[in-house]
Amino acid sequence: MMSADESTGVNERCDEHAASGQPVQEHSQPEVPGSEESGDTRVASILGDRVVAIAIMVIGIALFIYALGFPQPGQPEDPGTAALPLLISGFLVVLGVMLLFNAELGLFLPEPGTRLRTALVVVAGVVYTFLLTAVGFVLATLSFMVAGLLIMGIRSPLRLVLVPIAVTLAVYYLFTAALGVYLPSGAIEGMLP
Amino acid sequence: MSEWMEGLNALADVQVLAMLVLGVLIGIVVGALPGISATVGVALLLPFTFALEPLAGMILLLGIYGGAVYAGSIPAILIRSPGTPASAATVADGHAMTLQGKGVQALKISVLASCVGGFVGVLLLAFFSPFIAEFALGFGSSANFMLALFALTVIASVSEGRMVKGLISGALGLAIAMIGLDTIQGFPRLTFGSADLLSGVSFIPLMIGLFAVSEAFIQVERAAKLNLRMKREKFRATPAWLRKVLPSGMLGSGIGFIIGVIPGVGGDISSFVAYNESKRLTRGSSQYGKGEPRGIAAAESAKNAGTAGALVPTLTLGIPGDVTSAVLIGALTVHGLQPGPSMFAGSPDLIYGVFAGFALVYIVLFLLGWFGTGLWVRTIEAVPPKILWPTVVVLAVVGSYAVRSNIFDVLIMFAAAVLGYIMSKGGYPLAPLIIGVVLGPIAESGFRRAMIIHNGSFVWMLEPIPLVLGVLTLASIGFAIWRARKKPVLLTSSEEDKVEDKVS
Repeated sequence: MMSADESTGVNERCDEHAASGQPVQEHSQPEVPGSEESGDTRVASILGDRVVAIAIMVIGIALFIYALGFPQPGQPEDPGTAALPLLISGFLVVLGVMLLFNAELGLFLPEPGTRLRTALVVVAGVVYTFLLTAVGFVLATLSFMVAGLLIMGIRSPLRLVLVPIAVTLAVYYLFTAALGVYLPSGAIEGMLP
Repeated sequence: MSEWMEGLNALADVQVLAMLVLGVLIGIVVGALPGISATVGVALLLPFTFALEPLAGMILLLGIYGGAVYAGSIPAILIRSPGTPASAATVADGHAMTLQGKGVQALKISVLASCVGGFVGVLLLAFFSPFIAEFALGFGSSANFMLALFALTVIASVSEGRMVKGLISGALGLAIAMIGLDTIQGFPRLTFGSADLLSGVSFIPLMIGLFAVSEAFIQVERAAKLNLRMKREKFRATPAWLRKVLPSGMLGSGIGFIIGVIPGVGGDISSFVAYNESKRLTRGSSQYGKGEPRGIAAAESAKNAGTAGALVPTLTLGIPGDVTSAVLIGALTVHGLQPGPSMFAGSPDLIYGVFAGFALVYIVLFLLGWFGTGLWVRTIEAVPPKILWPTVVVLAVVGSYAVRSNIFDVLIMFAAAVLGYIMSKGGYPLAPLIIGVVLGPIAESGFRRAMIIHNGSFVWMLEPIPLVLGVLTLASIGFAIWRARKKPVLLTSSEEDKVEDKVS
């Protein structure tokens, strides 16, 4: 399926879980065995799609109202700048309703045990973004790489020092020297060859 | 003929050829790693092409594309887990052969079939594209609109799982595409006063975040090292063996190319269809599913031919043939080039350089893949996932920033990554979203211009080309509804059928 190209959806997850011996959560059985948070995730499963359905409807309605305020077209034959937004927002509301009645089991949250890790990676990424302009590319990337490796569970001091330096410098020279891209500079960049 | 000369001339450049080999090398490693599909690889490395000449950049990405699509079969065969979704059809027979001690043979079939399929696909691409491009020169806004609409409905018909989710994904894509200045009236929509959003959501950061970084977030949960467990095996390719395997390869190539041409549909579907056709034509030989070389040959050649087929609408019409082609459109627009009939006329050296280069990719891929199988397996196993994924994030951040030296784009990238993460987890296909982003503007401006040109009447819908496309659109909507009525029968291996039964 075309969408299978990028969606590591429920089915693929199940296979990989089955292969790695982890309990498969997405089955419509009354009891979900093998997980200490089974109650928690099963509620989240059905709710997930419903929440999305409501969110979609809200977005649709908001977009609709917003688009009603768009100006009239300059030429009378032009459907106008509001035409497509109105159409899509209406479509979204309809789809939201359809989804509400078609909600299926799905695990929206990271698997139990890795929630902290995933959340930390996201936070680290956002912090990294703001650090870029604050302290420059090199310092920001070094910090992020160290944080990232720690989050992924690497504890060896050698790796925690060498890998970030290697990756940071490699990417820095690759983008600035070889590709001519301007990267935000801070304290360190002035000292580099 | 002269265009070919121009193309070959452009190709015979050290930078271009170096990029070709580099691309294939990167592609093979990227494709075999779980979580990094061809699309992710191409999206992530796209920013590298900013500083390259257009042809060199395209060839690099095509090398990655071709290499990655092929290499997805390596883990599919060895450990039953496809490296890219298009290799899912190879899993059953490929892994069965591994269990029978014929893993290396399966890998070699995969290389041969992939390269045959890809090469044939490129030949067909090069042959048919000029005619289509010339035909499309006569396309007006009305035809463009209908074409975009048709492509959008096709996405809906082939969405995996619930059609509703695919449609939601597409609708979100259309909504995202509306952000920015309206092209006809110049009115800023959904920009909320932000100057950064005036030209719309930056496509490349959106894509990198949606596909690459969201996958990084998902993979953070795994962090398991890849162990391919390839055993030593003696295998020689004999002419008799070739005679057995090549016909399926040719069949797969043909089917794959044709399906790939359909906008929005690409290698993954064509490999399943080719597999099933190959099985049907051998009267359902009982070996299928248990290690039938012809099954692998058909699936592999189809998926690679489909890759080339997907480039047909992409290059000739500017309509993405599959998800990765949508990404490739981004690579061209960055250089100020707009894929479509005008590019055929205006940059023949680029177009024919791409054709020749893409064909060369498969020759290089064959040499590297056939003779270096063991080496690849060891290289792929050596990649440490714990270091890989943070590095992916760094590349993504830098790549997104590099587009217009704007931190805002990096934030867009992360927002897209979170969105992609939630969508993937919830079973919402990502492909319709990005296709919606690409096709939305084409559809809208086509419709509005057509209305303006025809003074507000809908008569343009009855002109020959729009009419034919309109009928096709209705047909594909009908197909989508029909398909949704039946229990979703995915063209998958039996394991996925079992899971599907339990879920629905």
